Amino acid sequence: MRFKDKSVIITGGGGKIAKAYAMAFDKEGAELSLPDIASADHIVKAIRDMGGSAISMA
Amino acid sequence: MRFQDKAVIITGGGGKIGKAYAIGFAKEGAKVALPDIASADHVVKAIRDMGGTAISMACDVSDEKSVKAMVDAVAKQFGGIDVLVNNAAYFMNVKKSPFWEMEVDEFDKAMAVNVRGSWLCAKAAFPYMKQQGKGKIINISSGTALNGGQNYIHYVTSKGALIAMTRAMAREVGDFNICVNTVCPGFVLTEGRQVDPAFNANRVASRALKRTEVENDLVGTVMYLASADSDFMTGQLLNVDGGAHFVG
Repeated sequence: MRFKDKSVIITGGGGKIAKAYAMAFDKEGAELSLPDIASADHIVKAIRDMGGSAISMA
Repeated sequence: MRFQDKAVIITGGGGKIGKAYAIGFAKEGAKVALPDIASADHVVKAIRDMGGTAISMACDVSDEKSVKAMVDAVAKQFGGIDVLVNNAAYFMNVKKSPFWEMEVDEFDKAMAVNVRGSWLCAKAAFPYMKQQGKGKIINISSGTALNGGQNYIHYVTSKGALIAMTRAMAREVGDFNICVNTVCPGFVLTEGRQVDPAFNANRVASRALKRTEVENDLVGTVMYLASADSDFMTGQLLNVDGGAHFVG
C-alpha cells in the first residue's frame, strides 16, 4: 500500500483517464478527492464499492 | 512485493550505488544478481541477512565471453532475466586531464566499459527477455552528459553515448515488448566518498532542491523503470539530480 492514507486530489476526476488514476491510487490506499466541473459521482461510487475512500465536488 | 521472484541483474553491484539498487529490489522480493569486476560479496551477504536472494560473480562487462557466461549463469540459476540495470562504469578511477592531453588507452577504457559493456550486457540478456515476451533494460547515464563535465572527455562521451544507445535499442526491441530507458544521476555523494566540500556545495547550489544527492535518491526511479508501472515508456531519459538540469 504505497499511498496508505495519503490525500490525493485529481482534478477533472470524472473523466476516463482520471478514473484510471483514481483507481490505481485507491488500490494503493490513498484517500481521493475528485473535483470536476461535471460529475465524478460515478467514480466515487465505484471506489466506495471497492471499499475505498473518495469524495467529489463541483 | 513489486518484484516478487523477478530476476534482476545489476552490473557493478558491488559499488555503493549498485548496492542501493540491489537492496531496493531485494526488499521488493527480487532475486538479484550482482556481477562486478571487484567483489560484491558484501552486498550479497547484506541481502541474504535480510532473508533475500542474491548472487554475485566476477565479470568484466567489456569482455563478451565474460558477459555471456555471467548472463547465462544468472538465467540458469534464476530461471530467466526480467531486468538488466547497466550500472557498471569506469568512473571512480578515471584519470582526469584536458582532452588534448588524454592518452588513447585511457579514452578507450571508458568506452570499452561504459559503452561496449552496456551493449554486451543487453546483447546477452536480450534472448532471455525475448523468450519471456517482456523485459526492462535501464542504462545509467550521467548528468555530465547534460552539462559537459570538464577534464574527463572519455567518461562524459561514454555517458552521452548511452542516451543514444538507449534510443536505438528501444526502437529495435519494441516489437519484443522490451523497454529500454536511461537514468541520469547528478553528482552523488556516496557514503564515505571524499570530495572537496566546496565542490559538493556548488552542486547543491545548482539544484532546485538544495541538498546533497545520495545513492538512495536514485533507487525509486530505477525501480519505476523496472516495474510494470512504466510499461508504455521506452527510449526515455529520466534525470534525477534535484533539478539541476531540466530535460525534455
